[in-house]
Amino acid sequence: MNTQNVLAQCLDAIFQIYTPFGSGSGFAIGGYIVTNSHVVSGMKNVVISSSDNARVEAKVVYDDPSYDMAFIEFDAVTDSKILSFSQESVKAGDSAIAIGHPYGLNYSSTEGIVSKAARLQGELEYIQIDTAINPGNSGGPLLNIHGHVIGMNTFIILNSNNLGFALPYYYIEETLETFKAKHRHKHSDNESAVIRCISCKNMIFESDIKKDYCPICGVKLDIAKQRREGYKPIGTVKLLESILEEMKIDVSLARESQNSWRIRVDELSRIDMNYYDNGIIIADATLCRIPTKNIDTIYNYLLSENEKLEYLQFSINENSIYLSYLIVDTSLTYDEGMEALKRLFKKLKTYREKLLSKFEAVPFVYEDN
Amino acid sequence: MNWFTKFFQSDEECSYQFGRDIAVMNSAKNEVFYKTSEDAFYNKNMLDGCENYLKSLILSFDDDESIENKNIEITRHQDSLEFTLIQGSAKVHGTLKEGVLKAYSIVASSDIHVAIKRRMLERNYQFTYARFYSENDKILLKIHLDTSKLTPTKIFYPLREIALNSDHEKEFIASEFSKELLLDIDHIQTMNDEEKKLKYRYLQKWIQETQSDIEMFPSDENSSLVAFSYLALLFKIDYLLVPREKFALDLVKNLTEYFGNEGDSIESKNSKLEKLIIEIKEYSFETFSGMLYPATYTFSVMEKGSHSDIELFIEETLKKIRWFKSNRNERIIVTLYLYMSLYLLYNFALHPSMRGLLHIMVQVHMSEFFEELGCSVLYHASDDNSSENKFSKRDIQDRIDNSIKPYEKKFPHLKSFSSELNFNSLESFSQSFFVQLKHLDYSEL
Repeated sequence: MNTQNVLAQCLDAIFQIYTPFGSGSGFAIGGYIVTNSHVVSGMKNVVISSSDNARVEAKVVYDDPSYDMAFIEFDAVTDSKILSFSQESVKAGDSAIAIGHPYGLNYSSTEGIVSKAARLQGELEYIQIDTAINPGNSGGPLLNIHGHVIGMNTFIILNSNNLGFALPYYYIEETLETFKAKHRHKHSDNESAVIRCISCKNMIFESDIKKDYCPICGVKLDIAKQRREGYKPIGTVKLLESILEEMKIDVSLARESQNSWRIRVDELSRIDMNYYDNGIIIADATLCRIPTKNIDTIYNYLLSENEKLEYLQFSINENSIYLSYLIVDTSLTYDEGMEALKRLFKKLKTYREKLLSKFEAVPFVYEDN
Repeated sequence: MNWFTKFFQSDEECSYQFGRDIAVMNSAKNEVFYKTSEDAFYNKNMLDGCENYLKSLILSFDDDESIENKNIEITRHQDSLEFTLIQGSAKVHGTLKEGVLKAYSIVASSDIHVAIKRRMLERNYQFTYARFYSENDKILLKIHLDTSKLTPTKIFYPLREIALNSDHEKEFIASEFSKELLLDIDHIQTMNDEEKKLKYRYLQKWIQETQSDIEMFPSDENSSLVAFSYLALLFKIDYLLVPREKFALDLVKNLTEYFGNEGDSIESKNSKLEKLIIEIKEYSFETFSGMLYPATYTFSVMEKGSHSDIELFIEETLKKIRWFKSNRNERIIVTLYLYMSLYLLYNFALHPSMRGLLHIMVQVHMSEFFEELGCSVLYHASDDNSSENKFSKRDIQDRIDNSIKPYEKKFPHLKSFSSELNFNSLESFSQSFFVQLKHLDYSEL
């Protein structure tokens, strides 16, 4: 199979995974979405999306820091959209194709070769590859030329020239089978998550863990603590999220990271809100691109509307027209933030329609539409 | 943003403006107003808080405490406050009423080129507090602050943003399009013809001298010598002649690119500066004098420079001077000392004492120019006297003492060094002066 066919066959099984701490990749196989433990960052729930699925919350049912592996339960994973494990052993020189979302760049594919089939790193063997992988590729599949999974892209040596490492398929396959066998004996649907102990390597039901100690070997399980404590926003982030919640926005789905949120308003519009290190909070709606004629007229309109707008303002950046709310964190209050964001949500549709119809502005198309 | 740097030095006998920086918080009175403002805001007395904060920005007071330099005018009513604030070509009008602080600056007529409108909408994307808008055939810049959580800092940044940017945009419009488009500029003063003529003469003279010097440099190590000569010339023009509009914008653009573009070779950077200098040299008197006007400022464009930054720069440059000395490039040495002073004055918002001290150094090095302005002469370069007698030693020492003494209470380890200087030659004076500057101690108790 050529590389184009591999990509066409596999793309629908690739997922993007978001937590408050960042994003990574995952792939559907064996009835679950498989990814790295470091991608799910000790969260019980993560947000996932794929070419067929808008962002949705999903449960992390298996977290295994020692193999850097995690499984996510998702009902919409169907047989037609799952990958399969390679049945052949991996050899140096084999083609190796990586698919993932490096730096959030959706569905990026890179191709290289297996540099060494089994490189021992700590207690585990890894497939060393020269395929370019970057942050965000973590948890994505490494495929052979037949489109079968030979590994999961897991880490790189920083500042090296394409020294990447993938967890071999046989660890994943074996773990999946063991997990499924264990899972059949779960206590209840609500308490079905399993953690693998970093020391004794036993799989343990999360409900059997007391005070974060492994009930079998007694080692302290950081992952259990992280899952128990979850993510708790504080300070300005907490204030911002409380405003969004009051506006009936699903904050978990909107959250891109601890300091950024993306809210889909309708098919054509969304609001990106970012809280920057310098204390500035900006909620931006990209309304449209500037038209090709009568541009002076639209500038006049935007400048005159800026006189009337309270809390909000029109601006232009890179040919796009923005309606934005800006505030410094120390000045943000619940009431003002609420009022300003409500206005932004309400006015962005009205203004977008007016700019498109009256001024013949060019519609703005988001990449993820 | 770093387009205007500099400062504004006035002394008793020489009331000209040098540089573009200002002496905010330069007196005990300013600090008292600031503290009073903090207390008032803490007690939710927004009107008193705002009034006292604005007073803390007043540049200087005369003895009876009326406002001397009218960079800010305040009118207090029973339940509201009005103020105006001057920043170069911009005038900011503000009101505080019913819990809201509003301020605007009228920039230009709305009958402007489409490029200016585009620029303003793009600037809106970069601002934190201010925004451009149009109203009644005018383009304005405004801020709107809810006073419920105000503190001096929360007024400072928005006011600074509107003031600096409305001034900058007015200068931009004047330089790229036409001064005729600008509105609300009655506060801009005019410079007398004698001063303009003198400045034009020195502009030509300094460029000619620099170009002659460069022709004499040895071919080896030529590029660094040329770089220091060009930079010293441009800093000198900026600080002493204080051109505005296109001249100022070009200077800032070129100097920013020079120091910001690390990938470019010194030769390439020098050729860009040379091109600018040739362009400047070709200015007619009418063109040049059209870009001169005295102005009042409230805010400094540059961020405050810490003494450790200054110390580091002095240390690094003194090392370069030692290298040039050991490689027998004496011609550049005196220029380098002048460059040091002007670099610091250009790049940092300095403590008033440091600004005063660096100005003394500039006045020593540029004595001919200051003499023609009618200012005191601190160094008599052409005298046949022995080297030491060329210096107005007593005058220099008094001015150093006067620059430091007002701040000794605030900085207990800050001591005058007027008796530690070496007056044997201009070079040894400059060396001893910078060594002393480096060791000034601005630590507070």
